[in-house]
Amino acid sequence: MSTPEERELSEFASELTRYRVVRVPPEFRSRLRASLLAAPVVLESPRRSLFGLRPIVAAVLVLALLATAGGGVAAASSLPGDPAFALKRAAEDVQVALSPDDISRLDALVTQSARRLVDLETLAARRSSAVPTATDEYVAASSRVETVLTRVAALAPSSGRDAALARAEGASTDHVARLQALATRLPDAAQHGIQRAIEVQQTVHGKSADAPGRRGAPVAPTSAPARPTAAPSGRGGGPPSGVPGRP
Amino acid sequence: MDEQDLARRASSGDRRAFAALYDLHVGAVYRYAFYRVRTDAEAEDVTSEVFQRALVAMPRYEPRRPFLAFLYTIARNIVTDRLRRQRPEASFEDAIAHPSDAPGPEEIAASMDDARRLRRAIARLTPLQQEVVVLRFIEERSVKEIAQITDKPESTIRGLQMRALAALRDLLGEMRS
Repeated sequence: MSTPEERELSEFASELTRYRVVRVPPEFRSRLRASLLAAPVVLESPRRSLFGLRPIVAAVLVLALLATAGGGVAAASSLPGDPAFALKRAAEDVQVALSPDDISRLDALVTQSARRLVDLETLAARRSSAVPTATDEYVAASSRVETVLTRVAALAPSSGRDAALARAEGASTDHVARLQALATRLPDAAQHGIQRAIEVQQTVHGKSADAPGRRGAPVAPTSAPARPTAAPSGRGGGPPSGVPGRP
Repeated sequence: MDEQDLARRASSGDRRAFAALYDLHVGAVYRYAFYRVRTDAEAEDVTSEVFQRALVAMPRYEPRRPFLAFLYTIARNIVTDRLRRQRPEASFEDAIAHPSDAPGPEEIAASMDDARRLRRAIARLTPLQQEVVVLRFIEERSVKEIAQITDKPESTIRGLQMRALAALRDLLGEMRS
């Protein structure tokens, strides 16, 4: 430091240290501490993504596969059970892996579970033999939503968190209603899977509505069926409890 | 028990060890957030998010790295995301080019607190200048640490220090006048 300008800046820099007086508000400090001790948290495993690659490498690989295999269109329109479906799922996994935070991740997964529900509805109408596979894919997608939703619900309340939880809650209400409608059209053999799917969505709904700090009491999905107690087969042909419209 | 032991235990799910790390560093994280966002409420939001993310990400924490640097990196990412989503504040260069962007006298008069006024001036610096001012001159972290946190070469940080200081001094002067 030699010039007057540099000396002046050096003095100014030393003045800045007095701004360290800013303190965490005590109430906020203890509230956050308590929530960190108590909140349910799913710890991340050491970073893994598609094929154990870093997300960006996996993204490039999937994009290359989509482009070079000429399978982009096929993958995009594929349904559970189709050979190209694995590629579609891989692309979705990459999308999730590249999400910057759990709130964005939750939104991506909610969108993906909605796609799986459309797949399930499509296959129920066109190819009933594929319904069990489509149901499994849907349940898996909903379980991924539930996992990330647990982490988001454990975040301190904020407008971003609450909006994402509201979106997940709204989607789960819609899914339960559509699954109930679907159940009335499917054979007995498919009922157990559908009930499993409804249960997962009810859990998603409950967790999003009950998240600490969210306004209002939890709202149960409309006409939510009671949980099934019977196995998929050997139920004597009786309807699963709570499925409306079944004889 | 030292910080590395606490971090190791926290990584394996020991919540009390994590709470001890929280006690050690919440002040620094809050101050960083305070000077990088626009309001006290946002600083609380960022601080919460930092520790929530850190808790979830503990298994990926590399114990050789200072724990505070790990927290600063998370905080920096959160602040960057927020800034990206918000309407950006004018940069220092913009502030000089468009003096009308500077806060008006009433707004300045309403800001009674020195720290909050400093925060408003810092918000007009470029993001990297903000990092340097907060970490180097308020938090007194070393150039090496800041380079690690910001993922920039030490020479860049060193070269930026004086420019950031000069810009901040000019902005504060402008706000006072």
